[in-house]
Amino acid sequence: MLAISVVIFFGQLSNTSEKYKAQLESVYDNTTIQGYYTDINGKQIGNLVLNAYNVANIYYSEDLSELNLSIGKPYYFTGINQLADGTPQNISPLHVPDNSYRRESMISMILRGPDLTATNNIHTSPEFYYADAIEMAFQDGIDESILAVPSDDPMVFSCIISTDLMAENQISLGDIIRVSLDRIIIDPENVQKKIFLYIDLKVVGSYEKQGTEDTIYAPLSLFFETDLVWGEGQPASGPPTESVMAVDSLTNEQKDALQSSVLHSANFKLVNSRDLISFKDFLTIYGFSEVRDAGKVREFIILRDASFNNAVASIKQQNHYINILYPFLYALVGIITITVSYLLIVSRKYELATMRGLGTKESRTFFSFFSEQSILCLLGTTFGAAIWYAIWGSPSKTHLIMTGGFILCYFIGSAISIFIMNHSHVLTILLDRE
Amino acid sequence: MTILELNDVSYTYTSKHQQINAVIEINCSFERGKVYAIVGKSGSGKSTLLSLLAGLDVPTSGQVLFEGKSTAAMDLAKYRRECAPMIYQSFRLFPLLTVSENITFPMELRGFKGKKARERARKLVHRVALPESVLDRFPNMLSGGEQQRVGIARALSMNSNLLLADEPTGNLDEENSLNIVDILVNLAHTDGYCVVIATHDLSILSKMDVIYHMNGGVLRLEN
Repeated sequence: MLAISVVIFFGQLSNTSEKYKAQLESVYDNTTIQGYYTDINGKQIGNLVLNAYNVANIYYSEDLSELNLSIGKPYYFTGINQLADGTPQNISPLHVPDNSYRRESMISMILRGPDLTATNNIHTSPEFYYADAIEMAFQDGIDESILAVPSDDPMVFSCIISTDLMAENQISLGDIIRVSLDRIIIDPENVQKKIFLYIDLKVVGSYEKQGTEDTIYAPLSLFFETDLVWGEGQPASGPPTESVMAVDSLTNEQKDALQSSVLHSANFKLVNSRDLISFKDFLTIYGFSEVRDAGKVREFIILRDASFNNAVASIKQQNHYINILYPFLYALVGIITITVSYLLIVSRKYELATMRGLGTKESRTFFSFFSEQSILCLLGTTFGAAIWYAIWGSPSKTHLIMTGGFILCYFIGSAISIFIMNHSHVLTILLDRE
Repeated sequence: MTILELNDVSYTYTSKHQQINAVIEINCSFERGKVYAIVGKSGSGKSTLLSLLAGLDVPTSGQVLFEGKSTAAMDLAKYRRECAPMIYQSFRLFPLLTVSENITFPMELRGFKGKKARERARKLVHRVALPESVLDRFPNMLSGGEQQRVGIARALSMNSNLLLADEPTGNLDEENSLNIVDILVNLAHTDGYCVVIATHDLSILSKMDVIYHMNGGVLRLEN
């Protein structure tokens, strides 16, 4: 009965312990920790000024599975330059007025306009920070992943525009639109004149806008040299690989290019939630700032790890209690086992003394009693293990080890008891009148 | 013919706080074919003396000689196994063994086992006036008198001419006591056993051949 009880008791203990370990692993496995750049107050906004070199360095830490960037520039919708069927519309670029007042007014008008946002992931761009889902429609064979792919045609980038902008300007999927930015260049067709820089964009998809502005989404490579971060890889294809540029292998020109690039938003996901602590250490060593705690690098990063940390802390606390309590319980059961096995022999001291009185050798009494107790113990343990298997399935490794410990304690208790009985005064025991 | 002889035998129990002289300088001898009684009050030392005869311990001083050899120079376990069977007041049968197994146990210790041992057990059961049907029973299924007879049968299975009994009638009623004593006397007078009984049961003394009185560890021959 003792063996059966102990096997089941140890099983329950080890099951509880294993359950907490499995829970912890499950939390680690099923949690994706996201991080994002914020302003000094921890607000997640889209017009930050982030040094691309610092952002790239985070990616090079190899702790990230995903890095999403965006750069937004205000645009002025100039018109449709070519219809989807290929019919050219011959739209003129936006000329810079000679009159400085009108020029400034035009620049102000462009700056007030919505953004042309270059990003590698529309889902994590500032407009959709708090959106659950984005309704989008695309041309056949195309999806939002085109944003992460550098354009094959350096003259025409793909883009995704809002359905409102499409309706307002009778734009169809496949049309090439032209937008102007606030940068002034010389008109290549008339060097005497200046125009605002224009970009031709092929509309390959549309989305339902969340705010009031008709942001146009274009591939990140429109405004950013993605090769500097991702090398030959694609800007959203997972953690850094060997093909990815390592910061140490960057040339000075590449470093300068990164240093001079500005990003307006950045967020990321950790490869493995188990690396959270080491990643935090990395951020601290690098000098990144925390909200209201400016560091060497005045860029503020928040990690969405509160619920993860709470869950992990709670499970670890339970594990901590278990780690304190269980050794006591194991020791207690061990002591009880030794005591019970000891007393079981003591209760049969008259039989042992009688055997000795009849001239049995000490070795034989030891073997006789020890083998009897061993068989009883092993039978009980086997029966307990069978019950456990029938009800709860295969025992865990800890369970088996603890059961082995129980058997050992039982053997020790029996051996000590028989040894003491063998060396006690046979005369005194036999003449005891009970 | 002398089987046991005691020369200046003393035995002292030693504990942390005191020493008790249980047996003091005893000189006597025991012969085959006679029944000896050692009587005395509880604590007089008679059981201790009997235990020294049984080889459960050796004297603190002096010698117990079995057929001329000192027990101190012998392997005591072997001596107990082959020379000095003992019967106890509390029977001391193995509760988990059958009567047959209890009787054959000492034989097995001497390497005498199997069918022959069981046949001898059957004969010994008859010798102590028990039916054969008890052989397969467990001791707790028998009365006190029957258990003591099994104890005697077990002692006889050792094939020695000595039989030591410590208060063999102490746990029995008068009728059973007399039956047990008759068996022991018969063994001495018919089969030539030397039977030594430690007792305080005065009713059995009339059947004894020699009576020793023990008081305060000192043995005195009763006239």
